[in-house]
Amino acid sequence: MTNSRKLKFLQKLYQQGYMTKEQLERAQQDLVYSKQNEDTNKILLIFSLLGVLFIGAGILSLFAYNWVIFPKFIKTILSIIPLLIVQGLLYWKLQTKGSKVWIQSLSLALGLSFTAALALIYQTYQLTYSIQSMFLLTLVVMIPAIYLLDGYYLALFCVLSLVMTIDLTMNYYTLLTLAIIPYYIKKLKSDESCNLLTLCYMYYGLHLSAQLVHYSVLSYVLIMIAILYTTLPYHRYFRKLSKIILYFILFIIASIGTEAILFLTASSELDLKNMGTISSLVFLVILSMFTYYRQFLLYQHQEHYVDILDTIIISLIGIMTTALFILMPTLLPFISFFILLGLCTAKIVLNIKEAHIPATRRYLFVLCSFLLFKILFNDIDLIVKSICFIMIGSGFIVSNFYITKRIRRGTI
Amino acid sequence: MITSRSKANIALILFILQLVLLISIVGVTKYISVAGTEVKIQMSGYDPYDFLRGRYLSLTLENRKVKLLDEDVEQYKELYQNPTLYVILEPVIAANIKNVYTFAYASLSKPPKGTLYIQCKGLFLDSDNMISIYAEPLEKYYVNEKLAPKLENIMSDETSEVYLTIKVLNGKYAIDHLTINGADY
Repeated sequence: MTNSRKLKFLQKLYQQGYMTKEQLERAQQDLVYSKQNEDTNKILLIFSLLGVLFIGAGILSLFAYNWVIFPKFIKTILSIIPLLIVQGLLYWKLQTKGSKVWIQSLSLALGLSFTAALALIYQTYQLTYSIQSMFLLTLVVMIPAIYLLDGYYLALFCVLSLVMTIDLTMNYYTLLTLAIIPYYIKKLKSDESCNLLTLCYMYYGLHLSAQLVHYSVLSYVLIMIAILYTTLPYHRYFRKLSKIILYFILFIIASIGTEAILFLTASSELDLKNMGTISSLVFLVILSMFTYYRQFLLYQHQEHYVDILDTIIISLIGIMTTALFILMPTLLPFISFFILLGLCTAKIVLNIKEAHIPATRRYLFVLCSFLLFKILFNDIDLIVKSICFIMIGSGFIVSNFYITKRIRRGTI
Repeated sequence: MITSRSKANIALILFILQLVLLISIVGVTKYISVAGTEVKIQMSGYDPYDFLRGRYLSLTLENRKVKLLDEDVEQYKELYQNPTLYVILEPVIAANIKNVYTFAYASLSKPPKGTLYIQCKGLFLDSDNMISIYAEPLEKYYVNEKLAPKLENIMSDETSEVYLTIKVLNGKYAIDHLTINGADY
């Protein structure tokens, strides 16, 4: 049960006379205090995950430079060292019952360092198998670790990396991602938020169905699902998911470029173009109209009316992105970059002012992942990339230690 | 309920398995490199980028079309999804470089022991029973970030001679080095 529901339930108990005013106030205070603690823990987790992600990307870029001064043997040893360090830390933290923040971030680091080791070994010995086969091997090796360490972010890394590199041919071995489904169900049952993993599986499911039917189906299905999720009344998760889908599409276009549309629609032809200017815009206008109507109904019931601004922004972005894609495809990545950057920064500043920690955390994560993708996929010198990533990652880790220290001293 | 100590011990076993897997990849490749027969194959190529492993030279086999054995043609037509082919190698006598080989013919059945061959995927079969082959591991060569554009420039010159040296053992192969106009990389 979420905290807002708990608060409503307490209010109901008080109204029905099961508890006194003092008891209600005490219970509410306890709940708010536990929520604050939970939020602080989540901030710490997000900082350490971002730290691990950036340092991991830095190490990968450093290895990808392909240093000619090192012989093969030294390269092999170098590739395994980060993995050994992470394994050692994880073993130590498991033995000393380390906190969830440590275990989660180290399990993600385990996945990253294994992939880095594999990549360097493949590079050193000229094993030129596809990136997908590397991620698949990482997934197979990491499945037991996901279950053992309860590594949600490791699971997310494994599924996301495979889903991101999925190609246009039908590869049945990607079905191995389904081995994480029992873990995913367990997480859902324990009432934990698994939005990103849900999104990955949703995309994977769509991709599989599009493979089995026809590629061009995918873009229609994506939009239809967005409409359904946005318009089904009184299910906040549906609204949340549609928001994630639209952000995801924008995110991919902004970070990778127009070619991302090919990846999103999994087609060799630009499907949105095939759908025709009018039909694709009509779809998005219908989506927006349904959304406004729904928001109007909610406003009448005085629920979530603050989300109207969000809805307007998102639907405008949707329409603008489609229009830009059709009218000025070359400008699309450039404009999307500024829209996403501006939107995330504005949201972070607003949420910090309102002390809304979960939203700040979410937008911070989106902004950092966006920058990570932007630097990773662009043609910048690998050494520069590596230094940037390691510095940003170290910044997050140092901030994490600083916050933890202040919490222990009681100054936060 | 798993205790934290037994959890740590299971994790330790997992970690060892992860390391064993990585070391076995190195070991198998190293074994083929040491025990395999040296074969040079003529290639051409350009320079793209892989975000995990850096820059590489994307190579193309100069002689991609190979004759499929007549007795395998009908069987091949009935097969789905790019089946495995055994491509027999034969030395090129006229070449002024040692150990240069070319593809003699392709077969669906495994050649007898002692024959020099590589395993790859079959693509399109034309009316002359010539089949396009695809050997993914032969088509990338990872090089230093600074070196890659220079090598691409040299390779773009049509007169350049590019040979990929591989070690072949029972159909499996490991890439050894790339030779461009006589210089090894």
